[in-house]
Amino acid sequence: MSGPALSIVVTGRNDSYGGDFNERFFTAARFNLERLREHGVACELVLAEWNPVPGKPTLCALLARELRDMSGVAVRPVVVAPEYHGAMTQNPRLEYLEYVAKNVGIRRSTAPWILATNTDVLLGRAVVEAIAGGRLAPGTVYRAPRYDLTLGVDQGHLAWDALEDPANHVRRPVLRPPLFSGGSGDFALAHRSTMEELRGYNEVYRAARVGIDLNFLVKAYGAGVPIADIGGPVYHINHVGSLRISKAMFRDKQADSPWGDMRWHSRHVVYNNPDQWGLGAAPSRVLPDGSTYLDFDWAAVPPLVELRRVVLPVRRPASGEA
Amino acid sequence: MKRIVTRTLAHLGLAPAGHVARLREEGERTTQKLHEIEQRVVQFKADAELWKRRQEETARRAGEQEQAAARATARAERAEARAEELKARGDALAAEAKEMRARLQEANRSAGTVREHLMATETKLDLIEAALQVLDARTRAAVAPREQEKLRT
Repeated sequence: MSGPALSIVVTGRNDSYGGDFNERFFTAARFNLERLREHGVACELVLAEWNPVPGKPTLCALLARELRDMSGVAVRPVVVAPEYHGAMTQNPRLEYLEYVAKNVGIRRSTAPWILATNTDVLLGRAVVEAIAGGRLAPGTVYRAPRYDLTLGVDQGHLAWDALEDPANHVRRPVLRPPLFSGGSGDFALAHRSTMEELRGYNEVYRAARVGIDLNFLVKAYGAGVPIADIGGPVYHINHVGSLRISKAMFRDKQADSPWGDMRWHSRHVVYNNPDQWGLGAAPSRVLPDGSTYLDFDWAAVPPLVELRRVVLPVRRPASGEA
Repeated sequence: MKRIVTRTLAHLGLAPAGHVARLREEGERTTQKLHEIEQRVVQFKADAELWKRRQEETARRAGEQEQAAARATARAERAEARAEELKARGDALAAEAKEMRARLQEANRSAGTVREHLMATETKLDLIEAALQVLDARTRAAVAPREQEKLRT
């Protein structure tokens, strides 16, 4: 079978987010691609770069340079014109529409299985083995708990033995049914047909990026898509400025936070994305470095507000918290 | 010879001394036995009297217990009637509680639905407010350069 079996979709830009963003990203990208290759999984890395920083090289260009020595690795960089951010934002304090960017990547991935994750997430042994084992069921959204590594961990010596050592963990959450929520943005794996049925992450509510990942699970559950724990954790290279570390700073001033107001009803209200979700109608061209560039076009921008796309999930018999 | 002597003494109203002694002993033994029998008779009479009194006492107690049993039976019948009455009231209360539980569940369901719709409405209001703020910012940004041009002219 030609073509990749798995698309790993991430988003980011060259903005030094959390300090050493690029180093974390390249470390995680190499680690994940090498582990998957060792287990015979052909994959592609889809990087959707949203609102690129003007005057600096794109992260997509840096990625191509970074991975040029890795053979057999398919990279699909997509740069989104910065005008889209201004046109689509519903909250000027949000500098990054993370999940719209992920939708851009999901829509442009080519493999049958799609893993939406983050640039600083390392796949665990059980996760890679599950993916390589070919036992994943289409029509299911797979989740993995995110174990946070100790802040400042030496990224030059990361191997599974070290990752699996509890001495290197700050937290080891347990995911519970029916949603298996908790760090959902760090691992959501599903067949392409499932992602397309759900139309990716919520693009209707763009006033916050916090809670959008949980909202995806609420939508999946309400749509009758089973959610399952894949059987092992992923590991997050912890950093300053992360939501988990910094959210307490904005506890009393939610509206000012750079992630939006955490109190929006992400657990109770879902969405119906438009047909052209993920900037499906954006014109594109290929840059000299091989990146796909999505040019700005108002025709590709969804309405600023579409209230009819704010909907309630179908309630199911409770087998746990939802 | 001994017999002739004994007969002769008997005609004279006499008896040999040994014979008299034997008879005297026998008489004493008989008297003793008689005394013992008399004592036994007295004892039997006393025992009989005692048993008679016990029997009378037992009969009296049996009579009392019969009366107590009759009273207990009456109380049991009254308690059974009361239990039947309470059971009927309990059944009625259980039915009422079941109905109220069903109504409460329905009210909770309705409240849940209302709550969900309220949250959807709040989310929509969030979006409207956010959109207004964005449009306000865009308008100001669009107007500001023209204001500066006006000042220059």
